[in-house]
Amino acid sequence: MELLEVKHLKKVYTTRFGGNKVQALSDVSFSVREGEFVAIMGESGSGKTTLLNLLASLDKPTAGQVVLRGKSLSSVKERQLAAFRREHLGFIFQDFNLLDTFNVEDNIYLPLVLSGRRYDEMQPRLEPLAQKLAITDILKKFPYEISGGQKQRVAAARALITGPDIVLADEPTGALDSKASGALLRLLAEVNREGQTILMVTHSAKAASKAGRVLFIRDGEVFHQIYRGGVSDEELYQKIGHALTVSAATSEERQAV
Amino acid sequence: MRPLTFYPKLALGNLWRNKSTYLPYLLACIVSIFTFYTLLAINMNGVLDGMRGESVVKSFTAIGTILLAIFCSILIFYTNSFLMKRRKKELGLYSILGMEKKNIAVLMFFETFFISLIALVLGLGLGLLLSKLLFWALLRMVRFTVMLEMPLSFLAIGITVLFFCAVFLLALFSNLRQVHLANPIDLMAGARQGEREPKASWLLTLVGIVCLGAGYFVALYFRSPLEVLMLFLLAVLLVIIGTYCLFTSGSIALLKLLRRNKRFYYQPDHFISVSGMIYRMKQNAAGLATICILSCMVLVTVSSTVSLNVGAEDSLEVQYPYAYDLRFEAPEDADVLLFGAQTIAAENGVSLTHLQDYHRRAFWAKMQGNSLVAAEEEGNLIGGGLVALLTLEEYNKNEGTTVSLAPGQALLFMTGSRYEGNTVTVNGIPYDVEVLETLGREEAGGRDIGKSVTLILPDSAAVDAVLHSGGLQIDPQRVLAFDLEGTPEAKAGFDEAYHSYVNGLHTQETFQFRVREDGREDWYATNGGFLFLGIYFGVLFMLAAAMIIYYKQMSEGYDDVSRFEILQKVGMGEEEVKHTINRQILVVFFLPLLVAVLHITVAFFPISRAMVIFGVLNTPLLVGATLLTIAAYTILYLLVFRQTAKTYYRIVRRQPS
Ligand SMILES: Nc1ncnc2c1ncn2[C@@H]1O[C@H](COP(=O)(O)OP(=O)(O)OP(=O)(O)O)[C@@H](O)[C@H]1O
Ligand SMILES: [Mg+2]
Repeated sequence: MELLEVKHLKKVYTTRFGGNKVQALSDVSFSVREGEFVAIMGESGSGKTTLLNLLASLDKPTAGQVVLRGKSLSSVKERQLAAFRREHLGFIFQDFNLLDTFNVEDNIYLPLVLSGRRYDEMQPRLEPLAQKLAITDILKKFPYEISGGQKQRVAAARALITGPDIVLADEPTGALDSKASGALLRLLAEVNREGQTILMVTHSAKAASKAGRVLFIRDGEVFHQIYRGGVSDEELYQKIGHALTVSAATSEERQAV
Repeated sequence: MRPLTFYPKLALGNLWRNKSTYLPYLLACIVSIFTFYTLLAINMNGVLDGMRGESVVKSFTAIGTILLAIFCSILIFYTNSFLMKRRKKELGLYSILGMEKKNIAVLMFFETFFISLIALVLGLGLGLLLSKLLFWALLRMVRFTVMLEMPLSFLAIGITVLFFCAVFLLALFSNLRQVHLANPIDLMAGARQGEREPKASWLLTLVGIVCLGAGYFVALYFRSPLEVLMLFLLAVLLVIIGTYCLFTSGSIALLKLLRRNKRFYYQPDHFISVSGMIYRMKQNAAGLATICILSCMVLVTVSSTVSLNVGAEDSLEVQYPYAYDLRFEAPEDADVLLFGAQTIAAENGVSLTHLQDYHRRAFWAKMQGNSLVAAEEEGNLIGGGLVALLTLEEYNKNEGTTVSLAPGQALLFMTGSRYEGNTVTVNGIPYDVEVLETLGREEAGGRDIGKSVTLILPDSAAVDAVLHSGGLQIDPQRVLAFDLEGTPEAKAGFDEAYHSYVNGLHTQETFQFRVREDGREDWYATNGGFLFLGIYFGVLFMLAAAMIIYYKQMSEGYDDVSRFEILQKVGMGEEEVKHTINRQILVVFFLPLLVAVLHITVAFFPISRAMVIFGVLNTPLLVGATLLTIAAYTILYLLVFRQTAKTYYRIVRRQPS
């Protein structure tokens, strides 16, 4: 069964003054299976963040719907939305979004605490996760005392600790150098191998090459997708590069017309 | 080379761009200047000179001005530090864009110059205008009969300008120091600074506990009004120091303790508010302590003012049981004055009632249990009191009774406390006594400053015996006391005529002439001043407290925008956000109020004891006034809280996309 179904999603932003309308997404449809690692690529302004916000129910689509485990997000009541998000989704953001008031450990516990879990069941969950993400030594530190790469691993731990149906990551390597990026992506690939479904938005071909499937969006639509089909990261990277040049060429052609 | 007008222009531009930040600051300055000037002008302008109650009103305004100076400085420094916090990023940007620190200093100087100028002009303008009004109100309240114009006081203006210039300059220096010490990156991170978790200092906690404990002890231990008056200031000082220390450090220690309790800490409500408060405590402990102290000041001033005024009538009855009270060294003068009073009463259509006419011999005595022994009068009121001796004959005449006493029997009437027992030994002579509940218009019991015992002995021989056995040689004092009955106009007529009659007598020096109406006039001169200043200070402190609360909320709100954004992304709903905010603000803001109420509860005891000195002895009245004040203040506090919470919520709420 499909875990996540995105059906004819459309998003039009109306600016506050003058009523200018910006069509960020025109018609996006795709689906994600349980245990998949999907990357979404596109140029700046192609609507990636918009798409992720809709999936995360942080924003409402103009048309179309998002269905998670057969349940349409639009059917979730406004008041239960936050709890729904907490229970079913995990987030990793480009700028980490850790809270300065909490130490690393408490930052990771945050979604569990918000769900009203007991402390006794939090700790056993954290231990293996912290080990896997190599943050055991920094659990007592505060966000301003650790590096960017460490911060993003902490953010990943926070996203994973609830055991979400799907992890949504927006440009998770955007603020990291290549070494830290590589480490984070390897970790994401590893948790994916253990069965975690991941949907990642990126414009880095390097990052996308870790995924099992890459979707390309342009002008608010999915215009192409590549399945890994058992090839190595390196080969997938090549394929993506090729797809991107083709895409650039076609968009130039269209502009010329 | 930049033109000379470059920095002034840039400074003015900055003020204008940051007007929403500067406006409350300006308001704080204007209110401070205006109140300071008003009080100073009232104290200095010379029109109070030579009036009844002048010295009391003057010393109040003088003390008030000093207190005000301290609080204005705290207020301005406090608001200034918020201002700086909000502006650091901008100044850091200037620095990164290549402006030298020297130039930034010049810029900041001009900003301070302009804002100070505006504040001084508006504050003084308002002060001049409204001080006329306030002065008029003060005169009305103290019931002075003369209407006066409030002249301009150039001296007061000068002092005000100098004082506030000094405060503004000091604030500027502290700002410059901060900018000078910090590098641009630190400045840019201005709002993030201080995010290191505060360490609870056990020493500070200890000092706080010790000071608070000592303050409370001093406040509660000493019982005599005079001791209380002398030590109250010490107690206040100790409590203020203790409050600051404990808010700074004790609260952090407590919160850390809460956090260590995992079961408690890892609950949705506690998790965010406890960590937020730990994070806040350091930034704002001083602010909270200030709010707390200000709240205390409001409560103390207003409740004691209200008590004093409501108690005025009540205490007049205690101090002046009779409308007219004359005491003569030469008893025969009394006949003249009594005759005079009766004649003038007849002329004015009033009658004398409750007439008391007796000879009284009074001496100072040590009181131990049921024994009274004549002694040298001591300065304090502990363990001693006044003993007055009367004969039964005069008692019966005054009371219109026909009591008879056997030898060795006496009647006893006591004020200042209750008399326990049915015997008394006075200067070694034992008596069986019957304790009287009333004597003339006086009532027995505790509503008096010092203890005083009146003994009614069978005859003058018994009186002489008591005096003799105490080794006392006392000439009798003849007491004449009476009330009036008649219309208010007739009474006023009598009062005027009798005063001029008494003042015209050549024997004036040999008798005391105490009139309740004169006492009342004195009282209103004093109490009106209290009431005026109490309300004035109450309003002022309340303004200051509200301003600090508002400032705190604004600054925290801007700090918290990103925090709540993250919380919502991670899965916190609107409702939960609202709930958490309310909870956090509630605890943070009601902590000062709670502590203030605790302080005022303790302060109630010394205050009620000190009130005795002002003649207010009605404890239920004091309790009522204090409770009422607390209730009224809590309501006002609640309003301020609601308003700021709303504004805070508006700031941190996720912008709907
Ligand atoms: N809140 C908004 N109001 C109006 N227009 C918006 C809003 N958010 C995004 N847009 C517009 O929608 C389009 C898609 O934006 P989006 O942020 O989804 O792009 P993106 O693919 O994430 O870009 P990037 O790679 O730079 O992050 C852009 O044209 C953007 O200007
Ligand atoms: Mg984006």
